[in-house]
Amino acid sequence: MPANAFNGFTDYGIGIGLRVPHYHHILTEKPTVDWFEIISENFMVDGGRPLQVLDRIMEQYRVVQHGVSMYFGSAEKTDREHLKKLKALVKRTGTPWLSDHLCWGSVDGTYTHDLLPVPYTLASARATARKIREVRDFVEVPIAVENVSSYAEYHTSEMTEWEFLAEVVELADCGILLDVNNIYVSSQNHSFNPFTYIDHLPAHRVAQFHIAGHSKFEKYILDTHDHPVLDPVWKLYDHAIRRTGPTATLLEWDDRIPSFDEVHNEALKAKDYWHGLKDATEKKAQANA
Amino acid sequence: MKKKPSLPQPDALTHAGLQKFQRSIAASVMRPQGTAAGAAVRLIKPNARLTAHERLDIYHQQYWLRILGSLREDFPALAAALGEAKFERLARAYLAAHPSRSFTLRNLGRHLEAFVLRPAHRRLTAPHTALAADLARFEWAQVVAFDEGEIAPVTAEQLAGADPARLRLRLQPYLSVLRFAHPVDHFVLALQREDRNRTEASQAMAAGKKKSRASKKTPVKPSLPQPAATFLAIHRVDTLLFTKPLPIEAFRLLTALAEGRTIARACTIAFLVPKGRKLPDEEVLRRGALLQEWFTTWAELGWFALRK
Repeated sequence: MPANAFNGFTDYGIGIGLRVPHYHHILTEKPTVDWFEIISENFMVDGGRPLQVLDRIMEQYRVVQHGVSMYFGSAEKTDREHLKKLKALVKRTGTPWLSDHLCWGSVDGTYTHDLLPVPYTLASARATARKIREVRDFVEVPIAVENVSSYAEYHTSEMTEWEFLAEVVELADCGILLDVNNIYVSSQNHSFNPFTYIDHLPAHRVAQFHIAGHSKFEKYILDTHDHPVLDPVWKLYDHAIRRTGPTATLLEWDDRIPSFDEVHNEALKAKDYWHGLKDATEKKAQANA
Repeated sequence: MKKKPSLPQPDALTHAGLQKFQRSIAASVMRPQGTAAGAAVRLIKPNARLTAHERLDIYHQQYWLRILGSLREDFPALAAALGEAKFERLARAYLAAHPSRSFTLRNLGRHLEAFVLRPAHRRLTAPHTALAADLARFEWAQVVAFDEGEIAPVTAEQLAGADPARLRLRLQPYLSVLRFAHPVDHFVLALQREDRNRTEASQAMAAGKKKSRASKKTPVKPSLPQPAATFLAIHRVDTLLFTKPLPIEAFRLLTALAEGRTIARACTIAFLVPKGRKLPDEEVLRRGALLQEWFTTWAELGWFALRK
């Protein structure tokens, strides 16, 4: 839903990821943008350029923190030092919600720096939910977990990915950052119906959307974030917002990054779907009247 | 839910099982390239297009692309000095020995200099091991200068009336004062100039100005520096990185301060005088003037904080 407990009852519009090649443009031209998403880890440093730039951005814009290393699905204990750094950044940015991925990526203190899919078992759902609650209680902001793209499935999984996601967010009582591009990529790699995925999620928990581009290879699709959003992903987005309402949406573009305007214009296409949804709702209301 | 009897082990049906499961997958993803995927393959389902091995291999390939790319980004001068192929061999060996132990890739190159200098690894950089170690040290210092913390610089009021025989200062965490066996700063500057020339040339080509002077420039890789003792301070001012060459005496002085010595003792160490030898008055004056000039500059740069 547009504003809900999982996004701090905010009503953010269309944002883009804050990326280094755009710093100069943003700081000098001050373009109108609803909000920026920052990668938390890039700013969990003690000083220097990253924090100086962030402070200048925050003078003009709203930012939301998105993490890549919390590894909610990891069997390891949460690193308290990491959490302290994260909380310090949360205080600095005033992010209304915090997102990270439904994945794992480290073992015994060694990091893959990847977003590895969790085995969809009840044991891992419980462990994941426990960790999400622990992080939320520590950083004291709502948490939204993001579904990842995946290239492998495990024999041991006891449920589908959407059943697992729903199980985790119910157990943790947290929000969902619904990445419709990731749903599309995984649906192609694992041959499931992406609309079924969306239809089975608790829509009231969706705090935010991610949209992005991907790359198609001969035997699989890779989540590369280096293209405009492709049509099948827009169709999924359209389908999803019909369930959730127009909800904070962010375009991720991380590689072969074009100009700021190109990225921003691509993100703003999401507005067309919001308008379409509004028109459809009004027509329905008129018909009912 | 009942445990499936035929599940490959470890399964992830308990917390202990999940731990073993993740260890098995991670070991396979992070294994050195060209080695067997191991038992983790049994945990992965094949599909109509890809075998279990191929699916696991997507993660394995992405892992190496990511960490090699990250290390290459942080050590461009080392890569230029060694050549891309040799740098990649070094990077693979280093990353196999030192996988990331941090939530951020920023710290990936922390141990590179020490790795390069270990006798068993010298073949990876021979015959330029000393230069490779210098460049690894220099480029890591740049990482530190980029985003390490800053502590409140000492103020003129704090210094006024302080006794140099008791006062101890500390250097900013983002500042590195280092000794090199080669003039690495010149080499790095030459590389940056070459990069700029290449960019200008390619932009000119892209604009269709094929006959312009810029497009005729053929970037030349700078020759490797010859050994020469070099003393540098690597630091930042606002958001920009700088390298400041230091006379050996200034290097000794800053190093002594960083070690926690008093200002008076650090000044003595900076200008070593053989016992019993008396300096001419003009030399005493020259040294005093140098010290004043250095301290003024360094204090303006905010390099000092009070050591408590």
